[in-house]
Amino acid sequence: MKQAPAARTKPKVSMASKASISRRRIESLKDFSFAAPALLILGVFIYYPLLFSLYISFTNWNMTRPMKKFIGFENYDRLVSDPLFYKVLRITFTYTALDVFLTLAIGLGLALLFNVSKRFYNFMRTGIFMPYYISMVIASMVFLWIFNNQYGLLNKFIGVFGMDPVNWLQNPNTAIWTLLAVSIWKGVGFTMLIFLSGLRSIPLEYFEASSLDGANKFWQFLHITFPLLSPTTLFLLITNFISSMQVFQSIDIMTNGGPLDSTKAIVYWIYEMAFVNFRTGRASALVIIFFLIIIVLTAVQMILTKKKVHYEG
Amino acid sequence: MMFKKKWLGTALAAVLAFGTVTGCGGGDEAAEMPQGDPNDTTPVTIQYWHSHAETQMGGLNYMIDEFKKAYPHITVEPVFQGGYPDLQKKLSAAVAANDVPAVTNVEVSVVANFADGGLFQDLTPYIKRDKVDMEDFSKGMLQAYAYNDKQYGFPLIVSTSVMVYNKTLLDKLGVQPPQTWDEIEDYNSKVTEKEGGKTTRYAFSVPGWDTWYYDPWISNGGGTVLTDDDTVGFDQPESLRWAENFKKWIDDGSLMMGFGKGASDTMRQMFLDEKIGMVEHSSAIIKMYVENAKFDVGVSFLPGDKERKSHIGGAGIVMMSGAKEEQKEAAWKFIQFMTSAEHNIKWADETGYLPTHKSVIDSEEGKQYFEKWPQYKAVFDNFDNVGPRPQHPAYPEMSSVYKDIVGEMILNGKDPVPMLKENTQKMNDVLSDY
Amino acid sequence: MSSKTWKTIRLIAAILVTLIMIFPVYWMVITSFKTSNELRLAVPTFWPETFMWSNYAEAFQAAPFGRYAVNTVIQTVGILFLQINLAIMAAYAFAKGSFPGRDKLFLLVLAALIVPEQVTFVPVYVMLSNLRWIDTFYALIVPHAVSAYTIFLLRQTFKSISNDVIEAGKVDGASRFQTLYRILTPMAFPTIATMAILTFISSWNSYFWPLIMTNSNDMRVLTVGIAMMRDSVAGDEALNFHLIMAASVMIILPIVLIFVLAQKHIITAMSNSTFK
Repeated sequence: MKQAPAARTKPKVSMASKASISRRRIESLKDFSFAAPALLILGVFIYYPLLFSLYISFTNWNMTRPMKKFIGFENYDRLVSDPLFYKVLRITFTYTALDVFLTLAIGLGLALLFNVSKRFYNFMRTGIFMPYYISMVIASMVFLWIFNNQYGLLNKFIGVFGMDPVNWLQNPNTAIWTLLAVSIWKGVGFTMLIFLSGLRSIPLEYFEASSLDGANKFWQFLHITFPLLSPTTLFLLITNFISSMQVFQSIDIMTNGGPLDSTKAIVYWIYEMAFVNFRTGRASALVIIFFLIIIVLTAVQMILTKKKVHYEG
Repeated sequence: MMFKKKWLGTALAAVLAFGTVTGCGGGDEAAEMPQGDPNDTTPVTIQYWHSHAETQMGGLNYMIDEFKKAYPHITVEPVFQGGYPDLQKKLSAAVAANDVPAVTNVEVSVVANFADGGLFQDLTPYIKRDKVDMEDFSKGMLQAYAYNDKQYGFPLIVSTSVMVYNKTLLDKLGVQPPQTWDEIEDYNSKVTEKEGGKTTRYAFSVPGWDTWYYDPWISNGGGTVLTDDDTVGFDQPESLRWAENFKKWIDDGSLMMGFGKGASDTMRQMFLDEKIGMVEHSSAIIKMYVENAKFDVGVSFLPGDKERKSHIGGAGIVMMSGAKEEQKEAAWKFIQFMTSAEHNIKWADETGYLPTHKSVIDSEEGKQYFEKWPQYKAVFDNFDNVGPRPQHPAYPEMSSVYKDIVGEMILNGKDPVPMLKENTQKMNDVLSDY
Repeated sequence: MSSKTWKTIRLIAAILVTLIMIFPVYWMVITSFKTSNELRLAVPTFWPETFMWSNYAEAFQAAPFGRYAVNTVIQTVGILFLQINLAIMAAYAFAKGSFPGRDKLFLLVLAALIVPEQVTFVPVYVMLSNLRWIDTFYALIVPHAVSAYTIFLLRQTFKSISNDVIEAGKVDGASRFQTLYRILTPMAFPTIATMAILTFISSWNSYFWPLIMTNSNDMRVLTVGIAMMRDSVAGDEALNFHLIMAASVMIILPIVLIFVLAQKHIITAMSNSTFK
């Protein structure tokens, strides 16, 4: 993120006449008109639904009922006094932390491993990127099949080493790892490519200079590569954080939030509350809480890392 | 910026409009007589939202063709909306948007919730007008689609939970499937096989992943899930007998219970591999067991104690109250046709679900059906013991509490009895908060 | 150790990792050719006993996949066109334009990133229903016409382009529109190409939205077809995974073909993009 250009260079005006003020107004209106269509769409399809949810969160509305009663903060009260609320938050954060950390760590490892300009490596990179463009629905089904405790390949595989089959999807301790497996499998290819583009933008002189000083590869990585990758890392951190917090599709297909709520992440809970238990009002309150949590945490990440991010040039 | 304010205004107007639009849906404006003219033959098209699986499509297409012959002016558009959860999702969205299909399937456990919300048309006036023979239906099956003394729908694809057993094995061991709880211990001791303290063959299995399978055990033991004053019955000792027994049988290694995604695969495969002597499962998949087992498959009704009941599953067919007036008469004719005695056996045979009419069982067609599927006989000997599920709008949500307690027992070996007692208040809160 | 040994170790490690990564796809394809019985063998086969092409015929009949494919293409092209163009315009306004509240509005755009569709679709559904848009391409395309992500990244790119370029265009008497499309857009081409690829992937694979917003077979898309496939064998999934996998292969085949044929350009575009 480079320094923002100090606003657009304005046309040279010798003196501030009325004509130039109105001309500037027209100019700024023209500028705005370029952003308007996008803003309109976001307003209608993101912000209006959010405002609507805010309104609904103060009612006892059930989507399928005509009655709608204003009940103040009761939905919020009930949520924060429900132990499940804290469990769901814990699961969401655990999932997000593991998912982001593992995807980034593995992605960076892959980028270092595959940072070779050879045709065969390029070919292999294509293979590693492949899961990224396979639909989450299909990826979840394939993993569901691999993790199946009766016929799944994974249990057959560990059976070769004499281990007992594990009920991956039916055990509260392992179910979350099945979700992580899909997500990481799908995500590392993209992360690798982005890290690669970061790696390649590091000027070679840095390495040459330190090589002359006799630094080894590990020292170089720790003191040159990693710091200089920090803008890329921040970008990946935030985008991965946001998408992990929203985990839904894999849960819907692989675990349905179970067993014993062990994979009930927040978006899935919202969805279940609205469509299985028909509590639209309470689900809306959860939407608002979710929105606030994620916006605060994203801001915190940006502020905390801002000081530490290194920019070249 | 001006633009933005305007947009906010529009949004607010939309919110308000939305409130009023939904305000006029539903309600119990059901008059004594239906408004439509039964002899009107103006062409009309109705949508039928359904969850009929691939295996039922042949049957459905046949029925729709036959219906078209009987009523050429009515066109039925069947639309597959996925499994029951997806169908439910789409129905509630459709209701919120006030744009509903005329006829739809509904899974039996949400009937109370949707009927309570005024989503379904009360069919009682139509039934009275056309003098539908209600006595011919299995009573419990009809009750499952009634709520607060109003008939909202008819049973269409009906299943019930049954005990599927390995007949070859039981014959060899010289035991009969237990008919009462008293016989279970004896049955267990004969069928269970252990090696070094570890069970290698379970006597029987009850699914833990859906309360549908053990709700009848609760009532058969003399207890109640839902009392008449809409509270849960788990504070009564009789309502805990099932849990005490399940815990005991799990601990002595004779009962296998599965929980969570894929548990059904495990149970099926263990049964087919002869590692379980008998499993409780849906009558709708008896056919699958018969086709895949290398041994003879028998079917027995659930064992009883204080009473002997099993609960209805599957889906019914209902009319949406938000359907356009001109569609309602056609919708009623379609519902009547789909659930009539005339096509009942054909339908049951094609879909693998149960017939719903008493009269068809003794008909010539019915006899042929039982010759083809002798396994269903056990169900029909207990035709009147197939009852509705506990009915309350919040039942699906409340039941997840005791389902998780069963899960704790299965996965973590906890004792369900104290947990059920401790959570009675929580379940009552869910019920009263409606 | 010599650098040659290192190279070999690296190559072996890279090959192993690649094999692990593509294994699930291999498994999907192999499963799709098995028989139902072969799915449940005690020792799984890594090569089908016989290739059951009939699985594909059977899966193809489970839903009108041809129609679904056409719908998916229309949906993807529509979203792609609108997202790229609206993002180019908006990114220009936020990067180079000046109007009151510009940066605050941009924050609103960014915040849109964090709202998943699972929390907005109820009001949107009601609104689209009032417009009579449910079960039309409008419902599939218009709500996804804007990607905050694309705007964000394009804005970064535009900001890195010197203002002199724009001034030069002005001197030549070019309108904003001309400057944007003739000068800035070609300069931002690598970013645009990358965003187009990402948009293509997400629209092709979108599932939840089309599932909710369409009601008839004529409007459904490929990913929904797979869900229908799965639901129609509900409860017996394990017996029918060969069919589910066959349908999955049919759905991912076009996108895999595109990526394999254009892999060189795509990987280059992705690696050159300015994700900073």
